[in-house]
Formats: sequence, C-alpha cells, structure tokens
Amino acid sequence: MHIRRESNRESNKSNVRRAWFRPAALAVLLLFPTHAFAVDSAFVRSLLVPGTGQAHQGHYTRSAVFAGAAVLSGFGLLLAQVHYNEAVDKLDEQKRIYASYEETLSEGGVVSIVDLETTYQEMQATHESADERLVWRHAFLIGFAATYAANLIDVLISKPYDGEPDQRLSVEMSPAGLRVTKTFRF
Amino acid sequence: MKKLFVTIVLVLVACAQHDDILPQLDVAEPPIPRNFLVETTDQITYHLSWEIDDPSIVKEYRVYSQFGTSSPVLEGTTDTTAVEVNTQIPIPGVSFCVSTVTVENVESRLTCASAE
Repeated sequence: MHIRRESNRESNKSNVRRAWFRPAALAVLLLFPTHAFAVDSAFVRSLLVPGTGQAHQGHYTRSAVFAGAAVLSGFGLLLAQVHYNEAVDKLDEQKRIYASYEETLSEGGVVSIVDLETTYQEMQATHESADERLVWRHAFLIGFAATYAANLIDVLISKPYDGEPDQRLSVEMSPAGLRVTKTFRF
Repeated sequence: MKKLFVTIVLVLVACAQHDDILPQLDVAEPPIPRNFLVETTDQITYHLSWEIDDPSIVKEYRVYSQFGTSSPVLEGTTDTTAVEVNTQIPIPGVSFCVSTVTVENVESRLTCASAE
C-alpha cells in the first residue's frame, strides 16, 4: 500500500512535468519559427540579401561589412565561374577534336602526328588551367558561403540596437595606476 | 525571393566540375625521313630521294611541294624512297617535303629541302 502511494506520487510528479513541458515545447516550436521566419524579420532580410538584417536591427557597420563581403565574394565567384566555364568549353572542344582524330584513324584516314601531339598537349594544358580555375572558384564559393552563413548566424544571435549611448571611454583608478579603456562597438 | 533563387542557382552551377582528359592514343611514332635530297638539272624535273630507319612500319610516303612561306601542297604518295617530280615550268624558290605514313595511318613530321 505504501509502495503504491509512492508510486502514485512519482506518477503525479511526472504528470506535472509533462503538463508544463508540452506547452513549453509547443510554444518554442511555434514561436521560434514565427519570430525567425517572419516576413519582416531581420533573419529573412539577411536570408534574402546579406547585411540587410543587420541594418534592420540597427547595426549599420556590421551590415556594411557583411554586404560588402557578400558582394565581393559573390562577384569573385561569378568571375571565377565565367573563367572556369571558358576553360571547360575550350577543354570540351579539344576533346572533341582529339576524339575526331581517333575516329578518323579507325575509319582508315590519315592523321598527322603533329596534330595528335599538339592537340593532346593543348588538352593537357587546358585541363591544368581548368583545375587551377576550379580551385579559385571553390575558394570564392567557400568565401561566399561562409559570409552568408556568418551573416545569418550573426543576425540570429544579435539583438536589435536599443539606441543607448555606449560607454566608449572609461577610466579606472587602482593602487597600481590609472587604466583607460576604449570600447569599440560595431 | 528572386535574389535567393539566383544565389541557389549560382551555388548549384558552381558545384559542377569538368571531366578528365581523353587517354592518349596508343600509336607508334612514325619514322622521319632523313638524308632528304632534292636535285635538278633543268629547274623543271626534280629528283627526290631519302632514307628511312624502319621501313617495316611504313605504309607509304607523302611528297609535298612548297612555294615560299605557303603551306605545303600534297603532290602524291609513293612506296619507294626516290621519286621524280616534274613542275612543267621553272618555279624559282620551290622546295619539297616528304613524310611517312605508318600502317596505323599516322603521318610523320615533314622533312623539307630545296634544290641544291
């Protein structure tokens, strides 16, 4: 009987836990997306255009930094992609020519060793060039993705600027001497 | 949303990569004619002769004529290492080239010479 009573007590505690946990979890699940993904929220603004969420929150310096970094890395990615596409197009053309030589030989036609060697060497050089341009493209892609991710993380963890003046310069007196602290906010 | 879409497309396009190059064709290096001589007595008939190191893999020889800096023009093919070419009229500055074509149908580099 005693044991049963203890068991009931434990059961009641568990029910109480469930009673507040469920609505709380539901509230978190419902409120967080509502807050984060609201059409006019800073998160959505930064999701669309990096830096605009920070500007919406009042952090204009960070907004300029993220927007500038996104524009630079995005423009670099675009240029690297164009250069890479040029190399790939050239490589495809040389591969097509080299394959046509093989086809000519298989059909009994004559192909000059000069043409074979020249095209193969050009194909190798273009492939190396495409590899190098691919590295640049990946670098800009990583830079762009990192900027984008940092922009989103920043806008999620930072609070809107409340407009209070900063304690930019402070002076502390101590037995060891005088300490002047300069604080930068961005 | 358009900017987000453009960004996603840009990232997806950026993920594509190029293929490797084609494997090099397995063909033997054609022997290059050596000691190529061009002789003439009347500036119309030219006697061309040359030597070859490994005639066993040679199917035929190609004879070209060349005027100045223009590209060589194919005059004909032969199985022997000596031919006579008749230009009908005297052509100042004409030179001749010869190449080998192997049994794999691969043509060698040209060896050129003018009349001595």
